[in-house]
Amino acid sequence: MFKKGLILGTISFCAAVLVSLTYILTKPIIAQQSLNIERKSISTFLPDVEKIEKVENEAGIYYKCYREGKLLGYALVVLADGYSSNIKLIAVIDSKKIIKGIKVLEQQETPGLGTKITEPWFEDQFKNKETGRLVLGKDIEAISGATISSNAVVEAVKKEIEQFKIENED
Amino acid sequence: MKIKGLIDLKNIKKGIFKENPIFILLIGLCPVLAITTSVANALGMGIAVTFVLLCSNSIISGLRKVIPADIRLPSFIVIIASFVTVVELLLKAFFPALNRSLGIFVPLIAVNCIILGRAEAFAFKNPLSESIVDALTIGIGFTFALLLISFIREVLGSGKLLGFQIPYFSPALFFAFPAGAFLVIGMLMGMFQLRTNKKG
Repeated sequence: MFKKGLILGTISFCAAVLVSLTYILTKPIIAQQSLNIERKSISTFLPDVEKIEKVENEAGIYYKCYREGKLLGYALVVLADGYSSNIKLIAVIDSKKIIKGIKVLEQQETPGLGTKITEPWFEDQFKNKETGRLVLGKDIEAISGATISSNAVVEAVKKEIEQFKIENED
Repeated sequence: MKIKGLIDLKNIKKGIFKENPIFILLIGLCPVLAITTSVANALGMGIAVTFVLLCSNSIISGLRKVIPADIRLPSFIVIIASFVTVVELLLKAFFPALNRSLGIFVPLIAVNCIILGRAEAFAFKNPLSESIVDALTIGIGFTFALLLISFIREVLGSGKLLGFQIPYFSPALFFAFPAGAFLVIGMLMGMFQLRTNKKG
């Protein structure tokens, strides 16, 4: 009995070592990849952007986007509590808090239903809207069969932008 | 250790026709229905599954004299799940676009019955070299099936091939949907079974 436990324990230990090593080795590369994707989606919504500056403070993580020293807008990293996963998305706003666009970066919602939040027709609905005009069913069409996922995205974007304080540029 | 028959055409043929996991053995069908909307996805999934199968078959075959029979299943699961996690991390790091389009079906390789099935039915009872050949045979058959289904579905369903639009062709969206997947798989299954039955 004890011997069997020992064998299973050894196998599990070796497996854990293998997984940990891969995790440690791939972690910086994965972080770099997600940074690249974030920057790429920012520049699709703010095509003029020249400089993107990452800010991390108690308010969360966001990017300041500049062109020729002038602030164009912000890109907020939004975390939403979806139907079956944590949704991570980026919302780009201008200095008047008008949404320039959103892009879902990470999600593991129900395939075929909730995953439709990543489709352009859903994401494009947020373009050029103010947070006051983000009502699901009225301004934003929900995905049929995935109301919870749709609502999670809308509410999280709304809350994040409303709470975000635009800094006064000197 | 000799990996005999690795380059044997007979084995490849066996994997594609006589023991095709999808069309003949009918195992591991769930991801097949879901990810065969494009040839690129199918190739990625096929390679990922073949890699996991190769690793798990070799390790399990190598340890078959060490693992007692009554703790074999938990051992298999631990070994398979670890390799799947490794594959998932590697995909995330080096093929982020592919990882996003395969989505949840990458971690779900862990519960793909092809892998546990081969571990239980083959690798646990056979020597290392034969288990490696078996993994490659089944892996090639699986990848072949995925490519065939996704080729038909991508061309008919979205009018594209490897992401490129086919000119003067209007697609039938039906084939991009799950119902279309069932129809295509069913038709192919029928053809493969017919061929196997004829050969006796």
